[in-house]
Amino acid sequence: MGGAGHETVARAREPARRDIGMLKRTDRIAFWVFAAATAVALSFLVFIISFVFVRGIPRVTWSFLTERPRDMGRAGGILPSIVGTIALTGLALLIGTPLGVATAVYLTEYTREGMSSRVIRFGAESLAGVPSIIFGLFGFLFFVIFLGFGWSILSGGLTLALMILPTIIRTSEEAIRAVPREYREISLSLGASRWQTVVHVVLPAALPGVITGVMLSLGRAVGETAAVIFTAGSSLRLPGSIMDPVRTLPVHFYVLAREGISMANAYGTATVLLATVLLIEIAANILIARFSGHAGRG
Amino acid sequence: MSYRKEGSPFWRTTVSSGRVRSQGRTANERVVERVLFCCALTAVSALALITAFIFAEGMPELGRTGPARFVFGTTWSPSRGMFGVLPMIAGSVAVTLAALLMGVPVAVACAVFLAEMAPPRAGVLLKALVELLSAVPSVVYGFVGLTTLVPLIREWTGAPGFSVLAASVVLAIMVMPTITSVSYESLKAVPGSYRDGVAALGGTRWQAIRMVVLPAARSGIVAGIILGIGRCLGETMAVLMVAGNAPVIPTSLLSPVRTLTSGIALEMGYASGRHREALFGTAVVLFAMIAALNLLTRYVASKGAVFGGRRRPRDGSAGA
Amino acid sequence: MLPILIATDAIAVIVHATNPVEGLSSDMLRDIFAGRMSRWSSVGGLDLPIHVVSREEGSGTRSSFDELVMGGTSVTSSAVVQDSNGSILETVASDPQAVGYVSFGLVDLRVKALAVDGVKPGPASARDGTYGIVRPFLFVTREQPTGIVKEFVDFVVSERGQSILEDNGLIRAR
Repeated sequence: MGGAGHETVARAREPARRDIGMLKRTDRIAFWVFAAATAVALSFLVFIISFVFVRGIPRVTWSFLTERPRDMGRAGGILPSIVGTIALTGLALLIGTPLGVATAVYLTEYTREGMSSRVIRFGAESLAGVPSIIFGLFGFLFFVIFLGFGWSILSGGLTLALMILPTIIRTSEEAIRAVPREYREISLSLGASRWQTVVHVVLPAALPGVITGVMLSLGRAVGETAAVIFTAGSSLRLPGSIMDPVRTLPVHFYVLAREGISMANAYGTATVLLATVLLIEIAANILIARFSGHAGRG
Repeated sequence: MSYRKEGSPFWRTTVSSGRVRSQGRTANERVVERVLFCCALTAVSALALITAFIFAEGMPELGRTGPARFVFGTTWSPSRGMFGVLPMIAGSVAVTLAALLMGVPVAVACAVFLAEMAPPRAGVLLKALVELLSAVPSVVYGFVGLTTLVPLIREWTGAPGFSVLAASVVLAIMVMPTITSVSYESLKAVPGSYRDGVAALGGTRWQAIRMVVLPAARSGIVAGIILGIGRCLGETMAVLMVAGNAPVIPTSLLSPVRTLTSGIALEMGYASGRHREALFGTAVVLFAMIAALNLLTRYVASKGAVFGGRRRPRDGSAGA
Repeated sequence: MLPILIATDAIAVIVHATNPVEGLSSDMLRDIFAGRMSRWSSVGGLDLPIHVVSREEGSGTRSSFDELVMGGTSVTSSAVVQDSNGSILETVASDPQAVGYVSFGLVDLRVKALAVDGVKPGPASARDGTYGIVRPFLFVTREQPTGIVKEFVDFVVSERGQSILEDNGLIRAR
């Protein structure tokens, strides 16, 4: 493609001979057209956020967050859904993060590019492309029925753990690869083993990147509906153990809004949900910005 | 806590103080490596399990109806024992194509503006804002579409409003951040010297973008679009809420439409017996389409590994 | 298996509250849902297309409707399909040209329940059999219920249980 680049550069010379005023005008028009496209994209963001928040914020009171729902969610609060969402996504991270980081460490520190790394990478990349409803169906067949976990936090959490695994692997791998070689060399030259180097040198240096990946995954898990609805059930009761079914925030919102049970509570739930995922995403972005700043110096 | 003399646990050693004790570490290393290897197999084993379970549940109905009649049958009527998923395949393809037609130009234009035209600091900030769109849960997209877009289309056209158009507009907005993010990265990976070259020849910024930067970033942009296709095909809840879910091959943008994913989610609740197996059969078809798309991605990636092909984000939702 | 009748449920055919049509014959109803009749003007309404809204196949409401209304014919495949009674209600309540069917208990002021063959759905017409689109709600047990299962069944068929069901729009079984 380098050759093609030269050709196009050569072609670029020809219009340059034309009227410079016209070229400048085209340049300006292009700028505004492309700026308009960006404005369109951002206007969707503003529209969706304000649409939900304007209708939902009045409903989000302390009692809404801390009370149990009454009358199928027509009245009362959303406490069980908040607890359920935290339990489900917490479990997913608890399982997904160690597995994902371990995979990344194996790929970067313990193996050279070869058959095994290719297979592992193929698995992770293919998993990333699997639609969430397929995860849901699989979780239903495997965790709910085959392993007999039933509709539960455990089934839902395991399903989500598999779903977020590829993101954690990829972001952790990038973060670990960004750790300068010298760090490892110094550690090894001091007599540390490979594992000691990983634990005490490489992972601490890669931590911000790893955390970023975990947070991006968390945001995705919190908002997930299709994979959860088949695996975690739809119970409105406060869960007592990980074998209990739960109804997460997006599922609760979906049921309330879809079936017209209570629009006020639906928007209230959506506001809590949207605010949560946006805060997670913003925090992740701040981390990315700071992290890439550090990497630049390293 | 016990402190063993020989072979003290490696996590007890203190690198921070500059001294490292290392006893029995070859044995430990071997254990560590094996454990890590097992962890690393999770993703690929999960993939194998998913494939096995979905196929085991879905293939019986494909066999019963006959694979060709299942895939190309035009009637989906479980109560009459007719299971043809062509309407859903057509539905998925229709909403995906329409979504890309609307979403890709805006998304790529947005990426070009952010990467090439906006002041660098503003570009980074605005890109983060565009990526916030990918954090919005799909049920929220679906519901906003249901309460704003569907009535709007109904009022303008007199059709029910649930339609290819409604679904594809929602999808276009949903995939935009993915495509923008991946395109942005590949534009940023084009060496600055290319732009300098055009400038040295007296070219304007727009000429540099059009003739040099965009062609050089092409493979990355295509990869972003393929990722977007995957998201469109796989999206379930948002489409379920606005598409109308009629199992007929859509004839216009205003036809109600059922996609593979929304068909599964729609009927899974009460399905039993053959009907349920047929829904898993639908999942097999979806799975095959996604697998084909993955192969395409690999092909494109292998063709265009020149600029930052390795570091390209693979997962749209986390295209950082 | 042992079925225990706990209540009956009238399925109401609903349209937007502003729709001038008040009732349909069962033949018209079948023709509309089969897609053979596609404009409101052919049943005495405005000259606008009919938007048919139906439940998904597999749902109880859908199979009852298929059995009680459609007979041998099937609901048109170009109908908009929703996966709950609630979302059918929401769809019809927001579309002046729509027609759908839901449990009578869900009908609210935003929609109008149509008379079928001259009879409006309601507890009285469902109980005396003049409104035809009525389905039983059953509990099913494997054998004669005992213990807490029996207690629960007894509660549901008791005066208190039955009045709770009645408050939710169902028709008492006894």
